[in-house]
Amino acid sequence: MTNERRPCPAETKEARVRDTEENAKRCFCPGCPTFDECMIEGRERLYCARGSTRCRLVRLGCVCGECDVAIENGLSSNYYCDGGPAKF
Amino acid sequence: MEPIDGWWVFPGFRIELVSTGLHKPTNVAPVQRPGRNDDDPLLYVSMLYGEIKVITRDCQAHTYADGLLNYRPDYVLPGSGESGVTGVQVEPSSGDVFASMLYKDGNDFKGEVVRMKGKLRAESIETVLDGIPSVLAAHQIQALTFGFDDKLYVTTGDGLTTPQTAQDDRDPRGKVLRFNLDGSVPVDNPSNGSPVYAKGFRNPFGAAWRKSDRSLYITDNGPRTDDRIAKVVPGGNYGWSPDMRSGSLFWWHFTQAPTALDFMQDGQFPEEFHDELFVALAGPARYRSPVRKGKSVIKMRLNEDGTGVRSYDEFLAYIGPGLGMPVGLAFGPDGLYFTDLHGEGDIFGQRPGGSVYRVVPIDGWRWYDDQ
Repeated sequence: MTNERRPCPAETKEARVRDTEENAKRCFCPGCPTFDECMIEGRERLYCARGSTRCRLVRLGCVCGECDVAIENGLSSNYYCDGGPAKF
Repeated sequence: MEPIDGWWVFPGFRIELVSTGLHKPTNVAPVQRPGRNDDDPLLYVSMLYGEIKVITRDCQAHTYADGLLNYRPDYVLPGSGESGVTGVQVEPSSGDVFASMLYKDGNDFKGEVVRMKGKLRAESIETVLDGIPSVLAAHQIQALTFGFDDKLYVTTGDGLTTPQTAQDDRDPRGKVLRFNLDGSVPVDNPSNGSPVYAKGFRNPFGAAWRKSDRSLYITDNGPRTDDRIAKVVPGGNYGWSPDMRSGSLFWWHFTQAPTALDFMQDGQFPEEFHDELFVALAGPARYRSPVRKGKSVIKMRLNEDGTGVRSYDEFLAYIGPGLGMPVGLAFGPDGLYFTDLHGEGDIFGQRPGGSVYRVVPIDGWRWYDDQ
């Protein structure tokens, strides 16, 4: 298929978590035990969309699995603050 | 909504709550011939953070042994809080309870197996094995089973950060190990003087024996892909690391976190389920339903020699609003027991949660009644 033209899709789906204000407001990261002062100061959140933290990270547990953003987007991993944005 | 209402079960069966308010119930070991009195033990349950509970026939949970960890668990889950007391099994001839767990030795974590005597309370605790290098994480010493040869089989994780140990014949990590009940190495092990029965595993959480081919089957958890079930042959090499497919009977490309497994082989369910393999799929830690991984128990029919899978069905699925995470699973004389690790507990497990359920067939149920 590499040299062939793809058939035109009628519709496609955004495979990444959308970096929207609505998702940021619902994000559980600020309530997570791994979320520390450095992350608060950096106004970080929504790691599953924006990517991993700039702070030195110490894993103290993960609440991604209980976050509405993760569940609505069909995520199934933990510690996006460490591993980077969700790929699916 | 009651927690029990959060579970869907295969047509013709019902689910019963046996005990709740437990503290991270991890594995179950039913007594295969329980007494008839209300206070006779029905099953033993390993509690991740340092206890063994005994549940009696009247569904009361009693502390069988506590304070089993010589360090304070940190409750970091997922993470280092996935470790602690894991395997539990009742030795058939003596009725003694064997359990596997971590302990701290200086700055190191190691795995051990203990043997406990006593029916309702552990009156003695004897160390059978110790000194197995480990890690404060999920890839620790795991399942215990007793073979048809009356030997003790122990599965061990690769230590998480040390996957190369699974291929090192001198290292007990990433293996299925075979011992006499006193912890000595049998003279008929595959390699003279070595406890290694098979190698090349990553995180083999569950183990169970199949009567029809007299073989051991295990679950093994892969990294981002390839969780698997394998039939274990003596001297076998199952490929990790890096291969999670060598020697596998079946693998899930999209990982499901298979934990405990057992065969229906003693008439607990109708004949059409005879010799089927039941596997708990825990799924990712702390994910609420719905999620596309785990939170279910599946059943498989294998071919006669255990080299292929003939059918695959979901048998039990969590559809409630909570976490629903089946981890332990074993057939007792009256049905299939499984644990829900989190139950109604709080987010990091410092407040007890977790339940044990039983699945039993509905008397007189027939498929055509469901049309």
